[in-house]
Amino acid sequence: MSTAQTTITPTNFDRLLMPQTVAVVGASSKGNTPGNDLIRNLRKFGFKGEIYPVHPTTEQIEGLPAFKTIGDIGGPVDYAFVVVSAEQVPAVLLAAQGNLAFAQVMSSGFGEIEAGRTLQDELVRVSRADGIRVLGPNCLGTYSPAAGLSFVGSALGQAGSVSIVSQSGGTAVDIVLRGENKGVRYRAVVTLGNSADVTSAELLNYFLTDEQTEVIGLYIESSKEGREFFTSLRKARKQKPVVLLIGGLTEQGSRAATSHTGSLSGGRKLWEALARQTGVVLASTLDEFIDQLVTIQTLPLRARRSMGNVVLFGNGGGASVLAADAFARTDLRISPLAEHTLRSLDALKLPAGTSLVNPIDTPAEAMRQQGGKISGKILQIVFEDRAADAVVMHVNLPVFLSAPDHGVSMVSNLLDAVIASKQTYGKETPLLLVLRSDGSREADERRREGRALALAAGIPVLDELPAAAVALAAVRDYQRFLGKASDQRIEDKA
Amino acid sequence: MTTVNNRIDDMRQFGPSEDWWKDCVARARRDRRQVLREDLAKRRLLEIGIAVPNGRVVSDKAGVAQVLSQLHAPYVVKLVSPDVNHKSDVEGVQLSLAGQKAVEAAIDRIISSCDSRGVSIEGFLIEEMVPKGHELAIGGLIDPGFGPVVMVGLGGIFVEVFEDIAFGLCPLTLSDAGEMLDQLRASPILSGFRSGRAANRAPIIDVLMRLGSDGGLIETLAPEVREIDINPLIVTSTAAVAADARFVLRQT
Repeated sequence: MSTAQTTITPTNFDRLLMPQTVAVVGASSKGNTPGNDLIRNLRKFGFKGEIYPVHPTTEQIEGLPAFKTIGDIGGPVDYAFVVVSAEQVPAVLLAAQGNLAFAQVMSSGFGEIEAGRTLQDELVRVSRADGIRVLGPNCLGTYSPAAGLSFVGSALGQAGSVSIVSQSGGTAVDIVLRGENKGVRYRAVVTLGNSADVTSAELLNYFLTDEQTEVIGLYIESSKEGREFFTSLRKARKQKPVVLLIGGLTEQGSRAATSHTGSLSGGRKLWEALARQTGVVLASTLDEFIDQLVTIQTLPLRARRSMGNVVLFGNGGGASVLAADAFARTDLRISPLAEHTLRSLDALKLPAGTSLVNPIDTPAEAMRQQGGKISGKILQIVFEDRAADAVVMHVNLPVFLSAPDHGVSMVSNLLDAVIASKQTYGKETPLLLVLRSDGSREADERRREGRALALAAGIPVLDELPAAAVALAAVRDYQRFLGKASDQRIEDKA
Repeated sequence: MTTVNNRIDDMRQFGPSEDWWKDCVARARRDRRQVLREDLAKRRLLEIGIAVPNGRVVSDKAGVAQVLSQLHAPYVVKLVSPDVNHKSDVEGVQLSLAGQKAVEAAIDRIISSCDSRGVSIEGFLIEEMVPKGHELAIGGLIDPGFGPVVMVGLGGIFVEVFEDIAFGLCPLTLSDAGEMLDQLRASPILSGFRSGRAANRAPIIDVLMRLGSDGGLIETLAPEVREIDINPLIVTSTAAVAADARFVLRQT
C-alpha cells in the first residue's frame, strides 16, 4: 500500500531538493562506483553543503574523510545516496539512528525480483520506524540543478521550472539530457524505481504546490496510483500544466474480463479519461513528452475557449503541404488569410514562387532578401493584422548552408528579425519555430545556435513540423481546459 | 416442459424495498451466480431512474396469458439461465412477437435450443419490445488502479470492432459526461449524420450521470457489484431505455 494513504502530514521534499548535507554510501577508495560519480558530480555542479562518504573500512574517499556509518556523522543528514548490495541496505539505514531525512536507494535486488520482495518489505519497515523517506530502491538518483545535485554527469546544471517524476531511471537520463538539449530547464528530476516508500502521487502533490515548479512531467509505468493522481489533479485544477508519459500500457490488455466494459478498460483509455477530466497533457512518445514540456515551459498559457487560425510560414512548398496535413490531424486550422492581410503581404513584392495564402510559402531565395530581414516584415503583418491565434515558422536550414560562412550570418539575421518582430508586434501571439536539419554537422550546428537564440527570446523550437503540430495542440487543449467552467463541489470530492 | 425448473422467485418474495437488494445479492451469492439475473438488475436500474422495458418473468407457458394482459405488443422473450453469458448464442432472445401464440412458440424454440445444448432454464423474461433507436453500450466498473469508472460507446461493431469507446473517472461532472460523448468517433451518427435519426443527448448523459456521478450507482454498488453493462441502451429522440442489463457480482 502506498504511503500517500497512510501518511497524515504530507512529506515536505525541500530537504531532498535542497540538501545541505549529503551522505554517500557505497563510494570506494578506488573511485569507480556510482557513489564516486555522485561525489564528483556534487563538486562539478557546485554543491555548497557538506559531503560525507560512508564506508566501513576506508578512511578517505575522493579526498574526503569517510565515516563508518551515517550515524557516526553525528548530525542530521538531508540526503543519503545508497549504492551497496541490497541485503546491506536495511542495516545502513538502521545505523543512521534516525538522523536521516531522505535515502535514495540505487541498489537493485528488491521488489523488482521475486526473491527481493521480503527484503523490500524490511527496507520499508526499517525506514518508516526511523522516519526516513526512501526513494527507490532500484532507481538512479535525483537531479536538482539549483542544489548542485545530479546523477547525470553530463547534465547542463542550469536550474529551471520543470519538475519530473520518473519511475524509470534510464528514461530520466533521457529526459534530462535530451530535454536540456531541446531547451527544457529543470527544477528537479526525481527517479523512483520500485516506489517502495515515496510514491509518484506524493511527489506530484508536492510539485503541485511547490512555488519553484511551473510545469510538471510524469513518466509512469503502472496505473496502480491512477485514483490518487486523479484526486490530486482535480483538486489542483488549473494550477499547473502536467504532461504525462505512460509506459507499459499493453500488458494490461490481457486482463480477463467478464463484461464488455471490463474487457475494454485496459490500456490507454483510462489515462485518456484522466487527461480529459483534469487537463493533463498525454504524450505518446518520449520525444513528444519533451517537445510538449519545452513548448509549455516557454509559452505563456491563458484560458482560451478555442484556438482559431494557425498561420504557417516558412520555406519549402512540399514541407508546407505536409505540415498542413499534420496540423489537420491534430484539428488545428490553417485557413486562408484575409484580403487586407494578403494585400499588405503582396506589397512586400516577394519573388515569384512565393505563396501567400496560408501556408505562407516563401522559397529560400525570398527568405534571403534583405539579409533575412524580410521574414520579420512578413511576421509583422501577420501579427499586426491579428491574422493568427498562433504562428508556426519553419526554416529548412540546409538550403542556407551554401554561403561562404555556412549560413551563420543568414540564420542569425533571420532569427534576429523574427525575434524583433515577435517582441515588437506579436507579444500576445504564440510563435513556435521549427528549425529543420538534414542531419549534417553544419545544419545541426545552425539549429543549435538558432535554438539558443530563440529560447532566450521565449520562442520554443521544435525539430520538425509534425512535432510542432502535436506541441501546439497540447497548448490548445490545456488552454481550452483553463477556459472551462469547473464543478467545484464534484471536483473537490473526486 | 421437462427442462423448466420452478425456482423463479416472484418479486414479492423479497423483503421490503430497502431490503430487497440485499436479499437479492445474498441469494445470488448463495447460488454462486457470477451475473445477476437480468430482471433484478433492471429493477435496480429502474429504482435509480433509468428506464427499462415493462416485463415479467414466467417459469413456463402457463403464465404467458396473464403477463401479456399487462403489457403492450410487440413483445420480446428472453431466456433466464445461470449457464448462459451470451443469450443470443443459444437463440435465447426472441424479438418482435405479436401475441400470445407467437410468445408461446418463442418459448418452445428457446426450450428446444437449450435442450439440444444441455443449457438449464430458470424461466423466461417477457418484455415489451423497445422501439428502434440508436444502440449504445454503457457500463461501469471498479478498476484496480483508477477506482470507479464509467464507459460509453455506440453498440455493435462500433464497440466490438473499432473499440470506439470513451471512459470517464467517477465522480463525473455534467461536462465530463458530455465530453465522453463528444469523444466518440461515431458521435456524428448520434446527431443524425446524413439524415439518419438523431438521438437525444440529454437522456444518454442522464444515464451516465445516474451511473457515474457523485453517489451514482457504480459507487453505491461498489461493495457487491464489480461491473455493470447496459448493452444495448436504446436511444430515440426522446428517451433512453436499458434493453439489457448485466451486473457482474464481486466474488467473495
